[in-house]
Amino acid sequence: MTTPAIRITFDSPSAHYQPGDRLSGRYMVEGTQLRPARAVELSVLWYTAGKGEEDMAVHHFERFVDEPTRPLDLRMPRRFATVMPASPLSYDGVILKICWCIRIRVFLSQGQETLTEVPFTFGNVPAGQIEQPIAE
Amino acid sequence: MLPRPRLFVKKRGTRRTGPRWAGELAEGLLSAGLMAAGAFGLYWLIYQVVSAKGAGRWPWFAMVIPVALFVYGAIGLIRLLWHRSASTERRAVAVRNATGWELPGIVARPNHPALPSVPAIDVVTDSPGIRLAYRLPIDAARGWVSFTMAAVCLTWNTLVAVFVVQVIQMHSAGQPNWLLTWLMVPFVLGGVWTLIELGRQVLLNIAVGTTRVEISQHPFYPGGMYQGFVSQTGRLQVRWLQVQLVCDEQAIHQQGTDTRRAICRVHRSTPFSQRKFDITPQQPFDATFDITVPDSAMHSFVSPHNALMWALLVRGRMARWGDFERRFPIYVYPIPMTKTSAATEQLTAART
Repeated sequence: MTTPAIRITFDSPSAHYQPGDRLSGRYMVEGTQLRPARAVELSVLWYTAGKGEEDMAVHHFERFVDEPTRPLDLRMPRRFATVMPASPLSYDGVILKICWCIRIRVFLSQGQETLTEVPFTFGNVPAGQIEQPIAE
Repeated sequence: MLPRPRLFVKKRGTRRTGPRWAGELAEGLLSAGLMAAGAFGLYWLIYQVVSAKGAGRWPWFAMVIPVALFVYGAIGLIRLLWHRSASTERRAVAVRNATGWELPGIVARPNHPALPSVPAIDVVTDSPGIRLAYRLPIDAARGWVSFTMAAVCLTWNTLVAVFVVQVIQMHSAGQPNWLLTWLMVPFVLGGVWTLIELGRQVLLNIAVGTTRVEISQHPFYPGGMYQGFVSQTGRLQVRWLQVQLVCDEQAIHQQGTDTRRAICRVHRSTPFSQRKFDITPQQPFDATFDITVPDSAMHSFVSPHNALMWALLVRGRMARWGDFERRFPIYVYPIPMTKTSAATEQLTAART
């Protein structure tokens, strides 16, 4: 069996949001030979990239577990929605970047897991440009 | 074939020197070992206390050691199991929920806006100004530099003085140790240098006097225009004095076993600049100026290892004292959002 392909689509084609906007979309797992999934987690989160150690925070989190009464069928599209917070906005600086994304983590049988993330833009802050390197 | 263990390799960046499971197994074994050692030590001490007569109180005090080992091992094991069983995002949510609890006895700040990862402005708005609404606090880093210099100077010169006294005593007793005498020379010169630098720092602080910066409104917002006021005391012949609005990116990173901090300036504007004037103790220098925050400015941001910091810098060059710079942190907030309630209603309707 192959690793399942996770497909995430935003309702907004531009995938560009502002503070207070409603972010929504759907996700599903593609592939005919799908291994049974124990659980799936959806996170709307930001993380830092660049020179510093990575920091991250989760704004919105959903977890669905495969249960006998509610089997987890990831081949059917699942919707997600959240209202974006006031901060932090996406930022593409010189040594610091703040990236927002949707991350889906699928937990397969036998302890394996697979992960997919789709970035989106939050806010209108242009890229930072170097003015003067100071110190290290 | 198993990878050859590399004990003396310096780890750089995020590169792994071995498989993850091996590290987790070793961490688990270490934690379990600590717990076992703690449990055995505790059992042995209790057995001693119960069986021995006149053992005194020391075994009871000594129990702190095995208990500490057991607790440390247990915490390590629980932490490892939590990391193994929960994803990064799930752990982050648990931490967020835990820190979001309202603890009894702690007063919530109703006027504090809910801005994740944006620093609070309480430290600035606590101090009212004389001319304008708020007086900005000076960055504490400068005070720490003087304190560290004084501590280094005192420690170094005390140690050097002890050796110098011994060397002088040897010379006066007619038993000079010339090797030790010559070895002391660079240490004494180093001590003299620390004294000179400390004296220069103290004199600079006294001569330049206090710098006061006030602003009309806080926090700042992108595209906003605000009033500022600067006051400088002292007895100075000023070549030039500037007030700059700056924005610095800061990143803390590991390089091998060292923790380093990188800073990069991404914005600098000069709202105020004046050349060639005198400041006397009777007549401090006062000036007002306008501060314009760019429309495209990124808001202040702080996270455990990264930050984006705005500040007003007062920089100058004095005739006898050289350059000086004082930093006054300010905070730029994102423009307040207006459509939260509508979006929340949409979301609620979609869910129901």
